[in-house]
Amino acid sequence: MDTIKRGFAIRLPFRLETQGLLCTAVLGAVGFVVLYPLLLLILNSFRVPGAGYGLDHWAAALREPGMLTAVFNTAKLTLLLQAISFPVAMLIVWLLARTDIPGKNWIEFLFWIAFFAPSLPIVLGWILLLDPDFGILNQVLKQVFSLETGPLNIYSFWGILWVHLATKSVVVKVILLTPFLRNMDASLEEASRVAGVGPLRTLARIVVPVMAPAIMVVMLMSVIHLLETFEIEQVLGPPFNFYVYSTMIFRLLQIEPPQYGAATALAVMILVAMVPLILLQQNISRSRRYTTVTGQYKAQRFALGRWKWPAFALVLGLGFFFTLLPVVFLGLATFMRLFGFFDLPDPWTISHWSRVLSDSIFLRSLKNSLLLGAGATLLAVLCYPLIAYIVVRTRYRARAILDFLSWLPIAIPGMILGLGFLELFLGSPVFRPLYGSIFVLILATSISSMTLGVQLLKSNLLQLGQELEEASWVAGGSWAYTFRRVILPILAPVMITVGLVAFIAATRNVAGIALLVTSQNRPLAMLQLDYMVDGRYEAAAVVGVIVMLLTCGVALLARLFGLKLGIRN
Amino acid sequence: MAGTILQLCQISRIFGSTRAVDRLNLEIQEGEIFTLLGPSGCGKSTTLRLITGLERPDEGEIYLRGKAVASVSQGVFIPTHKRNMGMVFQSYAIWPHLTVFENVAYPLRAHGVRGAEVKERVSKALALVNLQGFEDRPGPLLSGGQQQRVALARAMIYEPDILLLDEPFSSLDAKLRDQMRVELKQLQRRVGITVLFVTHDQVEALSLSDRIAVMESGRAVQVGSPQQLYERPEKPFIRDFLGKSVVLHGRIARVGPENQLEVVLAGKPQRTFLIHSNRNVASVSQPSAGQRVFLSIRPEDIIVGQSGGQPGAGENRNEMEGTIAALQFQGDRYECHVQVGEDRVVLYYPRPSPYRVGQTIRFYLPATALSVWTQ
Ligand SMILES: Nc1ncnc2c1ncn2[C@@H]1O[C@H](COP(=O)(O)OP(=O)(O)OP(=O)(O)O)[C@@H](O)[C@H]1O
Ligand SMILES: [Mg+2]
Repeated sequence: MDTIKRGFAIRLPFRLETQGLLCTAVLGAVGFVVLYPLLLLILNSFRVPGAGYGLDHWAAALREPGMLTAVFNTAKLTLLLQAISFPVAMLIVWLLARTDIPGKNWIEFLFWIAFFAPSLPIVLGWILLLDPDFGILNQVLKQVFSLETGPLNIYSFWGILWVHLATKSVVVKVILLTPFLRNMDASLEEASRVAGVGPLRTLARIVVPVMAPAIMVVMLMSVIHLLETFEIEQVLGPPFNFYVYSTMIFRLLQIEPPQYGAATALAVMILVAMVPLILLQQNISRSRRYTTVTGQYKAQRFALGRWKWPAFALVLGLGFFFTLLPVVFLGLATFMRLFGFFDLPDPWTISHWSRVLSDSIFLRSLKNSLLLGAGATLLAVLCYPLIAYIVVRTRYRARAILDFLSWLPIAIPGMILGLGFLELFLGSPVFRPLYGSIFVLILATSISSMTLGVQLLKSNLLQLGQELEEASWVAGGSWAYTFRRVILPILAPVMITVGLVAFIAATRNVAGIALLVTSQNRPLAMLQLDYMVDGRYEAAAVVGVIVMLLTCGVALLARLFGLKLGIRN
Repeated sequence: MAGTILQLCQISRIFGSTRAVDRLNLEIQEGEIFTLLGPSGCGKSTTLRLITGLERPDEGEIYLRGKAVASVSQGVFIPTHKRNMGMVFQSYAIWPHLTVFENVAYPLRAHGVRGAEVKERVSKALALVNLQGFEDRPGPLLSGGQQQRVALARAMIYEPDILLLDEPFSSLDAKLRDQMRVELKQLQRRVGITVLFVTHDQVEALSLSDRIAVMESGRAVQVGSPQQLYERPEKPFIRDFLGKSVVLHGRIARVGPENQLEVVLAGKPQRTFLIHSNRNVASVSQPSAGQRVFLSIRPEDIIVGQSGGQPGAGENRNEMEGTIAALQFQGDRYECHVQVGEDRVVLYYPRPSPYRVGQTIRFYLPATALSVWTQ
């Protein structure tokens, strides 16, 4: 009885005219920024200049050399990455959540930092380690085995795969699943053990089935996440003529004349391929509510015995690989006259720092980055609570649609959304004046961080007793008065977190804005990419360190305000 | 003469296929403590939420001082914040980000009261609930009883037309609960406010209320004073919900003058019972000889020992005996379960008890305390 009652969503009873209008306005705005670019893409992929509609662009896309290879490469990379990263991640999750591995808080913290770290500086760190000519690791190996050339080449399929593994693939799964396994009701397992079933069969018959929906969600999320990436392939792929769909879209727009039609058709192809993933994800997370159980009891931690320290070394080593190692070399690079050449006379210098820091291009980018971050934060703090509130607490008829719309952006790769925005802003005379302004970038990056922000606020609102609000209505507070004096102040700490997360997402974003950036509104992350593509590694490293400090520093701040991530029951 | 302050006409609230409140009619008088009493899930909270406007009715009308605040047929629905009611929530809903002062001042500020008046009225309200000196305490740093008083002060500060309380004492310990109950009643008498109280605790309802409505499946099955409900329940449900009762199987042997009944008990000891006065014939409208009935009595009305000397007794009428099946020590008395034929009789015996389990005990059921029910 009690559990059933707790499940009721008690909702705002009155449907004031103004409130309905406000909800509709929010729905309209979110729908416009999320759906309209996508609709535009679909429409444009069938639009033939001067001839109405047709399949010309699709034909052009399929004719384009390397196009099918790029799609195939995307699929190959995705599948292989999941196959490798999943077992590794599950092992780490289990070690962190259910065993007596030492120092688990610190290890988890390392993973947490890695979760927020921007990819690009890490990629650069790995280039500095694994470049066939000057990569430190290759130099060491050459010395030790007296080889002619470096044996490891980061500019290869396996190099790209490695960098993916070392940046997000494993880390995302660990961060999302560890809290889930840790919070899973231990009495479920204990009941099975008491019933006379051994630990391994309990794992197979209870733990895995209960966790299955969460695992599925995380798998789907990381597939979607992978489709999101762009910068790793953009830096490492072209030197050996390797493209995935996102770098292909980018290339199609860079060549002369730009192939808008083919790029659009490719984007739509990927969108269509994602529809089943999206549906599956929605389906699972809807049914998840009924399959998992919360519990106060913590499981007795599994004693690792003599495996304790090897396990510790393994996990710490991985955490170290994912964060410190590349970052150390990134830092090193900023102080070397020419990276990797230790035998130069006087190899150390601070001239890169002084040159970059006094460069007007850098200063403009820094300003752009800060503006972008601040704008995204502001937008997040103003809009996400409203969306979350409407979805959780009102009886607005279309709230489920709003909920879906606010979730959808996480499933839309930044490159595709960016292309949609490009066509929106260039294609309509109303919006064209905005093109090249920082506002466009704020909008594009905010959309990709909307999902996390709204979800955080939603779960907090759900925990917030409904009666706190009702007490205000009964006391004579109107809807707006209650929102201002009760909801917002109580949500303030979460809102700070949401704002900081939006800041991080905006300042490290590359894929979503790569197509929208001009020399006027280019932020630091894009500047670093441009430096790297030009081969100016030392300057890129300086910018990378700054982006790293900006994002990870803010992430630490968010942690102080109690940011917690992960799938929870 | 106090008039009707709140009137519910044929109010229904339907969730999916359950009628949480089902064509409910209630009338609450100015200045009384009116209690909604009923088992869990019978629709008490939903009724309160309908009255405050936290829920919209699916059918029916609600009038506050004769003015419709919700009416499906007229399409009227006054939103919660314009109804001028006070409410104490089960969880108290003390806003954690505000101090005691600000919590209590909130309704005033929401109604646009400003300046010195706020201060003055808040200190008056806090004095009323004995919480002077707690003004600057943050809400979460209060004990349960204190939170409850803050909630009470907050609910009453804007001088609401009616004060609603949804199981306000359920999260307090037994002792504090007794104390708060007394305080609430005194406070209500002092201020004279109308109180609508919700509980599933019968002791609370009986001791606090002027009138009680017993609810079952979204309907009010009987409305009346605590004494009326306890002594003359109209339905077996109410009889069993309010206090304990002993139920015996029987058959009417003879209908005497003035509705005097003679009932023969089923089972071994074929004894005739005499029942006086028609008011105890609760659900038997037309008693006739041979009709199967239940006899019911409150355990505390059963007198242990012989009937000799009791008024209306004579020729061992209404006496029974049985074997003691269980004996429970309850501190101030013994509860004694006696097997009589197929029926179990519960009665109380003062301590110290000379009886043991397995012994035979004689007792007497006063005719005025017995009631007859159809089977
Ligand atoms: N929001 C809702 N959605 C669906 N059903 C509901 C909702 N609220 C209440 N109910 C159902 O309506 C019935 C009455 O609920 P209500 O909360 O009014 O009971 P109650 O008498 O207050 O019980 P308790 O003493 O346990 O608080 C219950 O069967 C409950 O399951
Ligand atoms: Mg209730």
